[in-house]
Amino acid sequence: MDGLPRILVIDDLFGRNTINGVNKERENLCAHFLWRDLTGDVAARSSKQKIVKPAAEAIFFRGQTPSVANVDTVVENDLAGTLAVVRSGWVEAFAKGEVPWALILLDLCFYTGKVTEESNRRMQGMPEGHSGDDDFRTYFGLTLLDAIHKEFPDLPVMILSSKPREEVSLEFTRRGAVGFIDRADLRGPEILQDALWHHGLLPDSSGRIVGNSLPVLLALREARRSARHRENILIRGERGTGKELFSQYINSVANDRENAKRTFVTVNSAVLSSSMFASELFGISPRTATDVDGKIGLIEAADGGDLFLDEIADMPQEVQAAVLRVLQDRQITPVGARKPKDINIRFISATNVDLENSDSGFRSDLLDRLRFGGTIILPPLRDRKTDIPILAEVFVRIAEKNHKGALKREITKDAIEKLMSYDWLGNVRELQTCLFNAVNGNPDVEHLVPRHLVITSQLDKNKIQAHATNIKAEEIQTRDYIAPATDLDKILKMQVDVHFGMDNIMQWAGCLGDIEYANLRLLANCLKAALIATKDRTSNPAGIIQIHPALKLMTGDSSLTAVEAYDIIKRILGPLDNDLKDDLRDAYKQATLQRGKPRKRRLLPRKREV
Amino acid sequence: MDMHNALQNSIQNWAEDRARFSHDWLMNSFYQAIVGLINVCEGKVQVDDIRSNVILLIQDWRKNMSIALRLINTCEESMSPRVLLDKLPLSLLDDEDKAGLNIIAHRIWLERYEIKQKLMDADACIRKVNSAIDYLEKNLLESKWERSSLTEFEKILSTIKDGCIELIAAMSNLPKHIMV
Repeated sequence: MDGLPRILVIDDLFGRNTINGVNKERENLCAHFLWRDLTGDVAARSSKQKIVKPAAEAIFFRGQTPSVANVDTVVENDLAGTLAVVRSGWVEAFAKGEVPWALILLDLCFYTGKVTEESNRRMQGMPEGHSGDDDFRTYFGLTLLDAIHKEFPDLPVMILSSKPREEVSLEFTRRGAVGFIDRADLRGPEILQDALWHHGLLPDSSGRIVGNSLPVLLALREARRSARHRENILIRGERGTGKELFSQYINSVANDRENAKRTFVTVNSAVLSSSMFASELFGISPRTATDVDGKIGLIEAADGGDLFLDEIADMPQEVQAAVLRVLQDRQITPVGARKPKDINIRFISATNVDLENSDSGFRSDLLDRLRFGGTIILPPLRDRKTDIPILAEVFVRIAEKNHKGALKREITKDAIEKLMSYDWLGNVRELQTCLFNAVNGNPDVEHLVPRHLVITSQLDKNKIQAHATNIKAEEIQTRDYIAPATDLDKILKMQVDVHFGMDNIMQWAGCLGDIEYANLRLLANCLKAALIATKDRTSNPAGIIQIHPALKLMTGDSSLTAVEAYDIIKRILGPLDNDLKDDLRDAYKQATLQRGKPRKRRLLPRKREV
Repeated sequence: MDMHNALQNSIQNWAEDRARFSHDWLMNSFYQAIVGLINVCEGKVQVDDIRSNVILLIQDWRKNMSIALRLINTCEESMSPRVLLDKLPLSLLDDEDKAGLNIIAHRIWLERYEIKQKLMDADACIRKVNSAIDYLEKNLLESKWERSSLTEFEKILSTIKDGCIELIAAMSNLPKHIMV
């Protein structure tokens, strides 16, 4: 992939194939717009021209059947066939992790009917046309636009036509097209480049943000849109989703577009202490009398460019007030200076905290100013799993490069499947760590297999939620959990607070049994919750318990074997044998069936009534 | 009714021919080819044989220029509202009234829509492009089409491109249907 946008051009003239295999009109259009023709049909293969520096890759489709027409052939519009082509580069591309259409260029007027000697002489393979074909009220292009927008609402469509724009302006806008390019407009290629920037779904051509999934492409588009102006931008997303990478992307695409070299300075808000922030942010004015050296502050260092404020939720109150003043006045006063300095910076801030609804105490007036130019929401990795193969490939290669002597390895299919089966609560960073560890721990192998992958955070939040929502409220209420130890909280607090000082030693006297019992009950109830959450409800609506998945969920250990799971069940439930009901009783029965009855272990005597 | 149909066909044919010339050929084919060739001259596009591409372009122009001239020459005859006098219900008028109305309707149409001027403009555009094509052809025969001479060709092609844009505008100013 060389980062070029991929465009689908749906047009009867440029998309057709001819008997002699030449489509001169398409060739000319590609030479005009500087497109590399990737259609792969006879017309594309027969072209002798080469675009030196292509602006895009274009794939042409006629929108009609048949693709190759000769005299006496009847040409008909093909709605279903066209939608299938759109789908192949959209839904199917996403599923395969391939680059999808960045944009569709759609013609309006499609000529239908019989190809006559006369029409063929005028333009090879083109039919005579029916009167309705050229009627702006019934353009097939508008029908296609409706259908594309209905099935693929996120896919941007632009009209490419030589018909008068004013006739269809309202119609194409209503139907969701993002713009119109007049083929005879000298600025056509420029308008298209602008549309691609603003509406197109383009991967990061620098390769720093890896991924072709729709959530990533939408976030990148939002970032480009925000980069067009100099207003402050807020980036939100869970930890490890790449907030800093996106801030760098905003800075670099803005520089590329304006051919500028704006600076980029990163500040971690959490390390700005109340006592030191002023000198860090605003700098220190040099004082000859006291021999104090001057220091340029971070804001001044970013003057004319972008200042990235990471983890703003951790910003102390005093710093928040100071930053707010900078945003209001567009001035800073270095420590020890008498006069303020004008500054021109854009703040790009980032947080993984729901600042509006949390008790973080973050100032709402500051928040409003920091997001004045837009908010970009980054998707978690679990919402863009189709990117995992390409991310894995990139991270493994980096890890191999960093680990001197590591062999180049192939990532096996089952390893990819394993990576894709997790929800990655730590997102891309966690995936990266996992793969780095896999390479560092196994440098002398040519294959990366599932056993190399140790995944630390594998609590499958989605699965839990999905199962939990399937359980009706009354069902939960009527379930028999083990009765909780009534003073469990008290006992746990005692465990946390214990100092073992002589003054309170007596309160612990003889309570070991209580602690053991309380903890076992707590574990049993956690196990019960895990059993409910992982029930198989495909064959039985009430659900069938699954011990192995439940214990994997509970322990957070994906490599846990079934035997180990049964043994844990026995360890937890054995001492509570007489109290077990329903799911816990079933689980215990299964465990003992598989692994035999445990040796009878008596609980320590309890002194307290719990 | 045969005469009515023939008349309807004549109007429709002229409008269709104008659309085919302007939309199908001039904009979608010829103009794109010119801009593509300019990109070749600028080194953005590489082709095996630029000379044969230019020859094809000239041949294409010659063939279609005659269509454009015919459209201009037949515009008044095909698109004037006086043709309505041969259609029902105006065809029922007596000949004397029709003769009077014929002249008046035609003159008002010419005046109101500045038809003569529009036709002259379109004609001038065609001749402008044509003279640039003549110049290109002359140079084509004399030049070796080397890299150093492409700047000269680029200038001619740019003149043709500008002429095309004017011609597209001029042709779109011509009537698309009968206007009264």
